[in-house]
Amino acid sequence: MGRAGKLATVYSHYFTNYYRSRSFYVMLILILLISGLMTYFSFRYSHGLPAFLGGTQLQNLPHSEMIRVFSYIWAFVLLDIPVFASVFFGSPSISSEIENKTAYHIFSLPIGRYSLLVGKYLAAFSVTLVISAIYMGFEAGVFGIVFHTLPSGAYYESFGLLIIFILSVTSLTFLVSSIFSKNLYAYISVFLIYFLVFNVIDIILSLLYSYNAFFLLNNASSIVQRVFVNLSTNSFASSGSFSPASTHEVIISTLVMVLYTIVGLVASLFIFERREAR
Amino acid sequence: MSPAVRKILILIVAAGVIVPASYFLFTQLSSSQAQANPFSYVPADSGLVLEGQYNSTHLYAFSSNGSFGILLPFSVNELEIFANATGSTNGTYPIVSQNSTFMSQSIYSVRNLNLSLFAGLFGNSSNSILNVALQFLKINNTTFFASDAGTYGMVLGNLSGVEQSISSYSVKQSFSPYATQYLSSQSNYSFYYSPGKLSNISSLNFITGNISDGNSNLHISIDNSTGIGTNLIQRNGTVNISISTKPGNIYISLTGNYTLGQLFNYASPYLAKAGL
Repeated sequence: MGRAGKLATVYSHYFTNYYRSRSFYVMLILILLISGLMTYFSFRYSHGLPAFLGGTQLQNLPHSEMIRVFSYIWAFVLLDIPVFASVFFGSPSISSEIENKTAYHIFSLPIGRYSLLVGKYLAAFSVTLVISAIYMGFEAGVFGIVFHTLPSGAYYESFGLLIIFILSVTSLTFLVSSIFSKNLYAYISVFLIYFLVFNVIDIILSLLYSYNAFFLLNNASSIVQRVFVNLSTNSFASSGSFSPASTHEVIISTLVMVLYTIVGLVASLFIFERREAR
Repeated sequence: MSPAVRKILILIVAAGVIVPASYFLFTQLSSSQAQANPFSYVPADSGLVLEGQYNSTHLYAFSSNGSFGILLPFSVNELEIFANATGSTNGTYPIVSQNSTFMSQSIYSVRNLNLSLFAGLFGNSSNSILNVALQFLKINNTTFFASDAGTYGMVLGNLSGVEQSISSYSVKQSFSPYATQYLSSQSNYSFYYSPGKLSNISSLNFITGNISDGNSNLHISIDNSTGIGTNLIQRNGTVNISISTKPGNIYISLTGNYTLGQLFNYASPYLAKAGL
């Protein structure tokens, strides 16, 4: 079997493993629940957005702008769901093999470490994408019914950026997982890095130095939402605008996420290659 | 393939992505920062530049040889949306229409603009920073022209002002490098005035002012040869006045409870010496 064949085998094996796991069903239930709530929200407030936003200034908002605001609100969920999903699927990917002693069996298989890690990475990415795509599918369906419109260009742009975001956050979780030998440490570390360390750096830089920490993954990922309305819900530094994010901002955020993907994946490949089954 | 060769190949491929991506990121970032800097859209040769602040919202205005512009923190698209959304309560709707293109950038004409539209942003009183800017620039137009000013927002002014603003960003000859030197974003109002070469006030180089409640400063820069008087520190009621002079420079500082009129009263003898 060639390298590509081995990679495909690893990928299909772990993809099956992931979608049969409890984590997948937890995430599935969670995303269905959130989709249901957002569906209710869209039906309930489709004609009452000014009341929901607490003002009268948006009374005569044009239809297309109304859809943009709703898309922005829907996209808010996409900033966190991929993180949870990729942490569930990616964090234990390497550390669990060490902790559960399964590494003894896997490392002795006639499959290269690189193929093993890349196959696992692609499987974790695919399952996270499936979870996120279910939500995006709900969004498209609800908008079709409520606003009688097909998904706009910004919707597809947001979806494309979401895919890059999932690739980058999965890469980060694999890097952390390759460092630790215990699942719990890997889980907690990714959550701490993403939700605490990144936010603390962002707050310090923005409040003390008025500097927009564009290089942080959580800030870059907000582009998934900002392609609709350029207001970041997770950054203090962003001045914000009702218009969509500029092309410059889209390119910058995309490049930051690509850099996280490449650096995280290559670093985890090298660390994983040197790991020993203990 | 040996593991070492594989490692080197992976590193080469990774570097092949990381290096150009980082370079491209850097260039995009520089361009994006310039787009987000309002002073990138203020012409370098502006004779008058004003920065006003109200509830952390900043407004920038410039004027030069009959051209003027005001930089507002929202796009032309947003102006249209919010103007139409709130127009029903004000009774008038601004009419925004495409006017022309200058250096590949669209210029729009804005008619029936009711400035009370911006009350939420800049205040509604006659002393609001927008009204002060309009009075400062002696603007009473009913038809304006507007163009998007990068990610900062938009420039609103007369046609030549908007064109000069676009040009200053495009050819990178803006007021941006001088802004931090002359203006303070911490003050309620901050201004720079330079009569320029065309003026007959030959002895005055420039005046800058940073004006806030309770603490204001004026800096008058004049020719070295002009007589400028002596240093002074005095207390007048609740107002502390400090005037210091160095060759070619006069610094006037007021603290306490004072009016703008008092500030300029203290400055006027020195402005008179400079020929104003």
